[in-house]
Amino acid sequence: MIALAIALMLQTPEDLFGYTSSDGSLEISGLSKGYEFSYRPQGAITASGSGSPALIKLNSSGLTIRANRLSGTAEPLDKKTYFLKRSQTAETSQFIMDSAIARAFREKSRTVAPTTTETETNRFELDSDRTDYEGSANEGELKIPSALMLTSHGEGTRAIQKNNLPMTQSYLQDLSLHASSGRMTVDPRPNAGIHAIKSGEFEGPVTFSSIRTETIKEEKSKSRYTLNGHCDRLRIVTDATGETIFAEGNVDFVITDDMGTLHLGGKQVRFRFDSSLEPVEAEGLGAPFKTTYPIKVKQR
Amino acid sequence: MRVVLFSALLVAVAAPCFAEVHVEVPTSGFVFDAGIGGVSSNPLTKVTQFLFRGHAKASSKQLSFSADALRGELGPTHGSRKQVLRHVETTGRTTVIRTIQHGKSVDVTTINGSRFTFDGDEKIGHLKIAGPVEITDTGTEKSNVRLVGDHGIVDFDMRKENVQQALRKAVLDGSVKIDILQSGKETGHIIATGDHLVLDHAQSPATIVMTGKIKMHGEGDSDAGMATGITKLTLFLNDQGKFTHFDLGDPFK
Repeated sequence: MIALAIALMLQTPEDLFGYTSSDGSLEISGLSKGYEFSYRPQGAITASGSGSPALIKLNSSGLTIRANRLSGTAEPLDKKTYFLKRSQTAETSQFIMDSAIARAFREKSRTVAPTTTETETNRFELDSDRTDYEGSANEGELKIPSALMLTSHGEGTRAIQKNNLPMTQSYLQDLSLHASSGRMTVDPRPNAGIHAIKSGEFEGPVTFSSIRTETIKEEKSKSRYTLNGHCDRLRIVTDATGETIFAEGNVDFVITDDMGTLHLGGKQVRFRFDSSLEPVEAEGLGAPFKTTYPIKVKQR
Repeated sequence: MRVVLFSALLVAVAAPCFAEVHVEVPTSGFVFDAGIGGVSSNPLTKVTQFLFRGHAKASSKQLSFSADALRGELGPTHGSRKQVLRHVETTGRTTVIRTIQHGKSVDVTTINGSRFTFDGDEKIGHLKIAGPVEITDTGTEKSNVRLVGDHGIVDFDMRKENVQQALRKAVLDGSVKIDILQSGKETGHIIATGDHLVLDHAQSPATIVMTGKIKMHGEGDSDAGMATGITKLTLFLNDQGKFTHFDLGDPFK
């Protein structure tokens, strides 16, 4: 055991297995002894093994899988670029989607020209002991059977219409979620942005925290909104017009913005967000409610 | 000087005065050309020994040896008057070419190196190469597999019929290199360097297994990428000897 530990300590990066696809869209690295790798021309690439950690990176979509033990299959999207077909991880697993990596890859491979107009970046990171992913080029399902922490950071500048006037809005958005287990459907395409999580179901106890800060350049205004709380189960559903969060069981949420604070508690609470993930509606079952809130609040 | 050897009696030919020697041994199908040398045949043992120097070449329809010097013997086959190439030793730069006719197409395996020792019969030929070696299997169309090493051994299928692949097995050591053309690609090559390789056409599917400290990458219009930190590379070949896929590490079951 000691000899094995010494051998692992003496292992240099050169000794670790690494593979980079011909266009750099797929990188596998950090696999130590006992790994397996299979390549088929114009077909799937499969890899499995252990590392400290081992990595699979799909640079074209900004997806990174990092774990001490992992296996994955990537299939060709076109002649050289790959997408993740399936993966399984164990021991200190991370599943990351980072739009900045995808953008850097596309600019480097010159599939898009460098530009300053697209300034939105979004990064989702899921930390857990185990993950199990299966998907296509457009959609994938991620199952997390063990305790998980989901964090997300988004920031950017976008052109909006306010009072029929063109304005420039800058935003910062951070989200964190802890749960005992869960599953998500994700959009692995690089342009999914803040809507990369299409749906999710998380089993509790679930704690949820979201902070969003917005500034509008022309108005020199700044607003801040926070949502913190916990529940037994939490479900996220995304559609064309926004996102709905269903929180169930022992729900206790606090929403704070520049206009006030709202406590929501009970058996079930539903939050509705618009396509920019700004809150537009909250509905509760089995209140009590406290204070007032400018968005539409229903109580049954 | 031209001599046609009929195997009835011992015939010795030595032609030090002439610049070229040409000897045919019809019972074996072999023809010898060289600057100097000759053959001797023993009618009792039906063994023909030969020694040639100076751009020496021994060739038949299926197999040829070219070297600075060739020494060896042709021996009888079981239950037949025909002779087969049983032993060859070469000195200097040597080329061995094994040819198989597949209908209208020809599969040519070429081995370049130095100091070859060949032992064989009508079924199998065993070649030891002491010096740097390069094996090129042209396949039926164009250069398909190229193997390079510091020294090695090669087993040929010496049968004259029903042979799919002339090269049955090759083991190369030293600084070894594989250059294999991807099927359906004009310029798509997979290149790998390592310490030891074994080509095995005797098993199905055929494989080339490289071990040691390996580096591998794709070239030209290959869609294979670059791999490092590899200790085992397994390339899989189809019945025509063409590349199908590869595994790194322990092959997937």
